[in-house]
Amino acid sequence: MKLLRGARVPAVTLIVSLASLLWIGTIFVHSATTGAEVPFPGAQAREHFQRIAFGMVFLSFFLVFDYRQLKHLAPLLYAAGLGLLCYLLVTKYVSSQGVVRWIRFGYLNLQPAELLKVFTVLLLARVLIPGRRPPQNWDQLLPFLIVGVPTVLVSLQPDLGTALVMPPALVAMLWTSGISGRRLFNYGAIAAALMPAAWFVLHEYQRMRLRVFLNPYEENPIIREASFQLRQSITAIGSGGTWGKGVGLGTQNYLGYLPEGHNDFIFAVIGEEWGLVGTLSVVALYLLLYVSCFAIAYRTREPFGRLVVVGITAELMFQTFINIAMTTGWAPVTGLPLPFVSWGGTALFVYLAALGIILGIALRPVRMVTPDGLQHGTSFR
Amino acid sequence: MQRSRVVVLAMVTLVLCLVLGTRLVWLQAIDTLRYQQLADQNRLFTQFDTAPRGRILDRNGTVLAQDDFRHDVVYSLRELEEVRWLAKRLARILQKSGDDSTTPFSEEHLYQALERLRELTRDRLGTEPPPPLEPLIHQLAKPVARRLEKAVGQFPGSYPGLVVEWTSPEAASVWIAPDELFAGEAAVRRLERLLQTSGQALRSGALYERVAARYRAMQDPAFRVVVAGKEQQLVDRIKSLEEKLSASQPSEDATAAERREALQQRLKRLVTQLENLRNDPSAIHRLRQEWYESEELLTRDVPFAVVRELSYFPERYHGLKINERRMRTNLAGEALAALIGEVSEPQPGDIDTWIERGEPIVDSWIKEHGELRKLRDARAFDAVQDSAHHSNEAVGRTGIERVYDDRLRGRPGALGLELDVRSRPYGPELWKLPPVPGREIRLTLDLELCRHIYATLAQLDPYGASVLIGDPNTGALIGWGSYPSFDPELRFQNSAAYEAYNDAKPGGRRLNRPLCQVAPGSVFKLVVGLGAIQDGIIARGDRFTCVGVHDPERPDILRCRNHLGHMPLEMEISEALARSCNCFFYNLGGSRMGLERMRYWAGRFGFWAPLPGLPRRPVLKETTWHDAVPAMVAIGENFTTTAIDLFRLVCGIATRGKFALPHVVADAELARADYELELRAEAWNAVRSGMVAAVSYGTASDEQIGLCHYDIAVKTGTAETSWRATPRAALSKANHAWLVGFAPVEEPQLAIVICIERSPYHGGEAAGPVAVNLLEYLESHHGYRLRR
Repeated sequence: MKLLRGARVPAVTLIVSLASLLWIGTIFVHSATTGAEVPFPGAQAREHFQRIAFGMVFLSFFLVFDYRQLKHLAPLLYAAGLGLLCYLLVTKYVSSQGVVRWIRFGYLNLQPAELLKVFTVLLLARVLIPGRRPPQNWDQLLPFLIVGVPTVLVSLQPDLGTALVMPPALVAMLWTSGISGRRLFNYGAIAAALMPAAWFVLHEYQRMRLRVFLNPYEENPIIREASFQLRQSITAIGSGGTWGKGVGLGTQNYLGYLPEGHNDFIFAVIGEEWGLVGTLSVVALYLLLYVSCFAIAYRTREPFGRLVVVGITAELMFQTFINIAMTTGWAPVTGLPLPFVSWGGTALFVYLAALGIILGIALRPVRMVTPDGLQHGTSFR
Repeated sequence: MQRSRVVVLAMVTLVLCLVLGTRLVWLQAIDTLRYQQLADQNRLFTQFDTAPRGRILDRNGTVLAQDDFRHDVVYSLRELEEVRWLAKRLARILQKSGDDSTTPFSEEHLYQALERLRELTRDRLGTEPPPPLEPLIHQLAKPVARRLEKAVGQFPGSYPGLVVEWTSPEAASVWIAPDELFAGEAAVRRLERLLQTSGQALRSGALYERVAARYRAMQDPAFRVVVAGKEQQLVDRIKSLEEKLSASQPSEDATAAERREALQQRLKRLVTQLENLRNDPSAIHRLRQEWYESEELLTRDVPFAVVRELSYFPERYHGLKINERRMRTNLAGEALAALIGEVSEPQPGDIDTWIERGEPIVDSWIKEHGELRKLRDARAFDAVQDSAHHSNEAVGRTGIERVYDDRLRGRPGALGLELDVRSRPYGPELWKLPPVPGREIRLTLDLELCRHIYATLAQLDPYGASVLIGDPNTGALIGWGSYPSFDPELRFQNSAAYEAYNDAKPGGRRLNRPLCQVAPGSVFKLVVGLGAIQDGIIARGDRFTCVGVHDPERPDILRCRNHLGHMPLEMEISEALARSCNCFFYNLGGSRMGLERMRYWAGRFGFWAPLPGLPRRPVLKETTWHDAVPAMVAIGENFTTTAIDLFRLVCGIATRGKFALPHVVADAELARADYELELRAEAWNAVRSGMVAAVSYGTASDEQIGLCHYDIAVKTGTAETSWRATPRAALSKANHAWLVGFAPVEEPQLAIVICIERSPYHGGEAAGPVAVNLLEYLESHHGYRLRR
């Protein structure tokens, strides 16, 4: 019974759903990279598994590491992340290469944008802790600056998908920090008013993706070519039916109609080979994972921890939603991988480390000691 | 406050998941059939194959025409020229090091170096032993060299001919094996030498020049030549379409409006294509890709030894492929070229006819109910296979190939394949409906006899000639001669040579002469004689005196010079036929019978009637007949008929009224398609005795001709042509000489028709010796007993 108290239950459901998703990811990385005749695990699946194991090291580290230290480290980490990003952009403009997203770092291809996703949340949480000091006008702008700078820099890479994941985290964290609904609505209205201007900032390929998303079945040959990925992905998922075609037997998958089948479009492979049963299970697992995270946020008594959990979860949740919506044709194509399932690089390590932080928060619920000596006191505010 | 807000976020998550769930249920449970179809359309592909055409055999089973395979060698630049790829891969590895000393290894730099290496070793490519390794890079730093070595070890196919050799523990050199890197060029040069040794006159290096020209166009970064060519092509097509459009006025007619609409749409598409080509770099990129990957012809019709070598040692001929073509070969040669005829690819007219008849063209998109459709379903194909066409099948154009096209042509087969995203077949075929070969056709003709006929005619070398020999009882022809003819195996590369070949025979090489119109001359007197006796206009024993002129007032037109030694002469009808007296028939046909009766009797004897189983021949123009002078018609002038009609007449006379259908295809139905004509016995007897007498004392009785030694009944004819181009002095030398007859006289086994066009001699003189030659041949080779 003791286990069930405190933050333990959500931690257990989190671990169970995470393990299931990682396992499903390994299966479908295998299926998407080899033919049905290759026994599991194939070379890619083995490498994916190694990467998961490597990511588990990060996860364990943050389980042991006291997350409260992160509060102090946050500005430093954020600055370091921005520095890496700037280094990338400078090399990009100096060498006039098209797209620069990685820094080679020994075994790793480091993606600073992925790191910044977490660092931004950490700094934001530190800034948004309520009641730290009386709110100034300056305070209203700061969170937007913290999110805005990396968002702009990342979208300059250009990697709009990753950049777009950060604003939802800001919204969720503002909301959790207790901002009034009215003010949040005002911010939303301003953002909506700025939306049309964004069209002019977009690259040609990004505009094309938007056009494709709006009408993938248009007869225009250019659109048809550009919408190939999207159409094939929808076709793969739809053709899976209720029970799917069986692992390794998805025709869209093994005949190569799904580009990036092991990566951004892995959900389409799942949909084709496991059918509705598989896709709903995966969605349910994600629901379980994120609700567990929010439960941890709910249970924890530490405001910094709560905001960090909310921010990270909002990012992951938004990314998951966008990825699945994209493969089913309800969102434009962005280069966002499906968290924990897609073939992993830096993203997988960062997500596992982030979950490590969340688990660390779950394992360290702050015991509030109220003046009357009761163990379970009220939460802040 | 904060805690409850977290609950709201959890609720948002739940809602988002529900949204996704709804979408998934819609896609995978409700609308799944549509997507299953789409997925199947992606991967399932039906490949249609043409079927072999049926063979044509002669009466002894000798093959006259059949499908043969020819072999071409093709290449694609992608397979042949990998230098650019190697430079690209090499540059990627060498530059990745981040070590500044290696940056001169740009792709372009490496590519140039490799091409220079090619120039150096060019002469030795494809020789035995292969040229030695050539150095590319010296002193490559250790980390880069190690990475390169690893890449070469992992994907040797991506680094053809690249060798990394460690010169010291800290540095390595990169060497190139020219025969492996330039395997494509080596292969082409090897093939060139092979062709030279197998006897083809081929200049050294000529073959690779074709590849090099294409490769050079590829190397141009702007791809200028090809883009300009494509642009010009588009501009021309747009111009011609615009002209077509401006020529067709908008009209009320629905089909015309539809056609105009289609033209407009095509024009719009072309204009978009042109705009894309001019403004869109990706269009040029696509064009380059197409150009790089498309299969191009390297050399045609390679000998079998080359095919064998390429199939046994494909690794020596990297990037080259053998393509098989099906060709129709006419093995009968000149003797039967026109009768057997030719085939060709389907022409727009054929395709329209098929569509009109509702016969599917399996490998093309056809408009059905206003939508372009294509056969995809195996079951559907099974049902229509018998009437199906392939857009690449051979269609009979002339001769027997055309008449029996439906029987000869095979039915296309189909193959269900699974294709991957790059349209390459994946795994074995899913289902297969093999093509149905066309049926064989056996002719009644004897190839050796036909060749003999042709050789005999060729010796004579007239302006034109036709010979028919057959069985008068069944109408089956065993000999068919049409001179001059063409060699069906000759293929002309330029029109001048073709014109010279045609001009050598002003009579025209491609005519099927037994089916061409010629005035029958005196042979027509048989028709007049038979008709007149049957009509009771004349009886045997009725006598008439010929004085050499029919109408004393116009002696220059209606004269008789056929029995100049016996003038004036009183005779009855048999003798008139034997001596071919013109005045007798001017009087009988022109004055007493009249045009209409002669026309009637010609029709009854099968003139101009349709002949199933034979290529079509011209029919009588009614106007010519009405404008004709009756007296001239009576002696077979002023109108035309064909040798095959006269053959039928001879069959009727030989069998006393059984008019068999002349035919060349062994078909029971054709052999039965005869008709009986019951005439008075007196009529048959009179005509037959006249024909017998022609050999004994009449027009063909000359000892020099030699027909008098045979048990044969003949009628000769000399049609004087009014051919305008002939100088007046030579007009008498331009006669169509006829000889028709049957042998033996009682129980005839052979009917024979010979026509020598524009001969300087009269009927018996010109055609008689040919007849004797053929009768001799038939006696010695076919066992007929025809002598008296």
